[in-house]
Amino acid sequence: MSSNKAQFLDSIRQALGRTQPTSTAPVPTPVDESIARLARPEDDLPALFAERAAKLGMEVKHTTHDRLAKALVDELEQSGVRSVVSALDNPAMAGALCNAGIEALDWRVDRSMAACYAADAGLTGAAAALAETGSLVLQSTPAVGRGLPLAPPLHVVVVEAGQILADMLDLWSQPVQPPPAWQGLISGPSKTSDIEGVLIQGVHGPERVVILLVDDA
Amino acid sequence: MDAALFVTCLTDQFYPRVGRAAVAVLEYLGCNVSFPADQTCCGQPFYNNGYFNEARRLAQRMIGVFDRAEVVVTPSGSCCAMVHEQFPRLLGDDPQWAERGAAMVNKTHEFVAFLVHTLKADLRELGCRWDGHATYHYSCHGRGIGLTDEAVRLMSQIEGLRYTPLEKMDQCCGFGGTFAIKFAEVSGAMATDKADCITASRAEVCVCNDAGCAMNIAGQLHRNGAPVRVMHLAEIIAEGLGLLGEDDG
Amino acid sequence: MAEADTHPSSAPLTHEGHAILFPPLPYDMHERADAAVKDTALLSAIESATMGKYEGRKQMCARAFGDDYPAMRKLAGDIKQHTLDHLDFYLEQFIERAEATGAQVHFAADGAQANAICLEIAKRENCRSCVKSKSMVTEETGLVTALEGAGIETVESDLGEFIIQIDHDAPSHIVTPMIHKTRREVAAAYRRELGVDCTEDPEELTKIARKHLRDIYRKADLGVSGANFLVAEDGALVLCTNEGNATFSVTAPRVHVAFVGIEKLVPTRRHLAVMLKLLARSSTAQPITVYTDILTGPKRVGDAHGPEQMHIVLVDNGRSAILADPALRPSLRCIRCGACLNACPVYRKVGGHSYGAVYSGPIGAVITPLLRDPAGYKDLPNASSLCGACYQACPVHIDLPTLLIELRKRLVEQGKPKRIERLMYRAYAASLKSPWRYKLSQWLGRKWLRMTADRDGFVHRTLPPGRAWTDHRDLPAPAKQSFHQWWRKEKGTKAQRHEGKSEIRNQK
Repeated sequence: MSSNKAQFLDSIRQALGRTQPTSTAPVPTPVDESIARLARPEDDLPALFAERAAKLGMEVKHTTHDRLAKALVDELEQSGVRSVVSALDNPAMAGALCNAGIEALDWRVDRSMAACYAADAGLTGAAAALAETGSLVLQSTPAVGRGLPLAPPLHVVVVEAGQILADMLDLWSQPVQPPPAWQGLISGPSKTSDIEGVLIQGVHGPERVVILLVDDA
Repeated sequence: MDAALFVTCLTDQFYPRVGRAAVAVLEYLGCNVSFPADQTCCGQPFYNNGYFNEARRLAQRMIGVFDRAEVVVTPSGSCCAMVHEQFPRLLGDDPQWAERGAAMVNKTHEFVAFLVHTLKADLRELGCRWDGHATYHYSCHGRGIGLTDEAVRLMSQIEGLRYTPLEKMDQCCGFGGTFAIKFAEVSGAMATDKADCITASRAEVCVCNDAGCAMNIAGQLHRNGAPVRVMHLAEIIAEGLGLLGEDDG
Repeated sequence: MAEADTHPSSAPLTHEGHAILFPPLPYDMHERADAAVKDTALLSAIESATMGKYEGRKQMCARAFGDDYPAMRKLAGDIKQHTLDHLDFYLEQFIERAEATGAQVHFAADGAQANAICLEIAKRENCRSCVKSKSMVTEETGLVTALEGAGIETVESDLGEFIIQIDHDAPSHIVTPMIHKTRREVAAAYRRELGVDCTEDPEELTKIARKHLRDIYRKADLGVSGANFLVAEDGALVLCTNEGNATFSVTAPRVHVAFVGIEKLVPTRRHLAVMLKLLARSSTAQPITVYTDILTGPKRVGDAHGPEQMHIVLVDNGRSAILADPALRPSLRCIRCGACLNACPVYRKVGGHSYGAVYSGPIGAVITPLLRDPAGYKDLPNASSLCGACYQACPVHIDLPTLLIELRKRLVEQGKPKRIERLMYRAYAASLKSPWRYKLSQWLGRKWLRMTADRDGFVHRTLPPGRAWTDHRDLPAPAKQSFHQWWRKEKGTKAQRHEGKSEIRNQK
């Protein structure tokens, strides 16, 4: 019933006026970085990232390794969070959450979507971050799943200053083999302005995204 | 500089005063203006409506008429855009005509762009004075020939001219040639929008440098009973330099 | 608040909704367009949405790219054009790499085949409930109706599409599908179809949808999406949304089926970056959409979330015919950002439904006749003042006015315009062939128009076809004396009068 692959490709080839597959790979249009690059590695990446992430509607809190656990607990307490699913592999933080009376479910114990739906907040790290846009880069690994930054109403993400890349072009400078099944660029809280252009946050995903930016420098 | 005027058919029939103003200003700025009398139409209405054979013949005809001209200046932006953008497309298949078409493109200038970029006219230095309150409609052809704020810059150099920017300045007035007939309701709604913005500016004159847009906007303003006059910048400059009387028309 | 069991997904898109996008052909645009220009509520909704995004795009792009903005558009256009020119190569590469990630790739020559592939997968995998993110290709193929027809309840998850679905309406904009709807209509649809008690507050209406769709995500076993891009080098499928509904729709259900037009390819992720830098800026004046999901295959061993199966249905549905036509091929560069709709003064006055098709605005006026039926949609290429605002806004540098003119040319070549129109153009062209014909015909026209003008110098009512003009605005009367006459009298010398004649003789 479906046209098969050979037939399908044949019709494309014919449309392009070819009868045979091209023998040599075409040379793709070069990406002129003098035009396309919007941030440079020599820029002050943490400052740029923090500024642009805030512009995207994410809340950026600066902290250090020593103060991270406390910063996290403060944030969660202020937000009235009672339960979290945490994919942060950090015993100090787990202890701090426990002491604060916040129910912390370790991702490694329960990785179900149901747990993500039920939690007040999802805690994750990031694979990278982009100064260009202020985006977080997350990807699916056994250590974090794609539902965790998405389903709870609050996403708290820990970003190390050293993880910040300048530009999308740097994130994708080399093809990764094999790529993760999911790589997500998260650039703000979930939002819509479908109804009369009124901006509403938290339509499907989180209403708030809080970034704990760890910069010891 | 020798400059041949391409007056265009609409300006010829509806706004000859614009042609006279353009001649007066160009001469004032030191140009030796000629007017090849065999000129008719650049073919734009035919091209835009898909009648390419007719458009091509008129394009070739026009190139012939202006063959000897060193520089061609036209007070109508859309006709200039026709030459710049479409002549190469129409004539590209024939090497001989492609070459002549390219030469035509290189020497054809829209009046305002010619004043600003080629003659580098400074109206302040020339003592141009015109008392009145004006706004400016950016006609769509400006996109095709890369115009930005040339007209506004010239207006700012005219002493006594009070300028109010037009809301939705670069939104099409709805003329579009036969579009105004084929989709008259839509075109009319666009013209109404434009006329409302002009009225809201409270200006007494709307500067519009294309005859088609001028007819459309003037017609809509008149239908609305709005006492706003539509003028070409050439007329204002000519008046401001004392080259054309206000009642000369 | 309604319980999940009262959700509306069993209500299929009604005939009414379908008929908006699939009217009988030939389609006469005037009826809807003429009604739309008088609908002040509609116009103010469209105006505020499109003007905001139009101005926003200009500011965002100027801020990001500065003087390089035109060069950036050109770069993106070149990338897409190159990919199209070698689409056979990149498609084959994509298929090979996507299959290597574990995705299953399917091939559909038309919409019916695409729907059949999806239904077969759903049947084989025993899917009962489908959640769908926004996809223009599925609008083309009518997938929701097909799924509903097969008894698979299907819910749109994009808020705008969800509202349109429950209100039995049809999308009217590529990016903001319910641009034509007011909060009042939304609230009425909620009360009627969801059985909820609600105000007209957008926040409240949005949160009701959030809760409602959470239930849908939990129970859906089939997730359908489109794709914004496909990356040939690693077989990735890219989805861009602000709501996160696509992420949900392809994360929660166990089977993911993506419908993708073959023109969505880019060669590498670096090329993808160029597109992403332009897409959201052009579309909604954001630097990037909130969610950019790059999917390469179903979930891996050890992954907790994600579908067990990922199916990519490559859809032709008229695209290879456009590809085969070099003059029109650039229309396939389109990345569906909607910038041309927002920039278009005609779209602002008539809205999307007036185009009578899935794709509206300038890009719709070009591709609808090509994807469907050129003669059946012959009004569309003519529904433009050729102002060029669309070309200036297009992030992939599609010269839309030129494509519209190309379609007009083909209609002329095929003798489609009315006989009377063709005769008039022929007569008009003949009158411009020589100076004396020009002067005589223009003199007659001027004389006649001046006779019909009032003393205030305007014609208020004239004969057809000019009547259409004077039905809406006055026509300035021509001048008493033409410029030609003035020049001859005041300036002309014998030499100048004859200038140009020798060249004309040479041509003959």
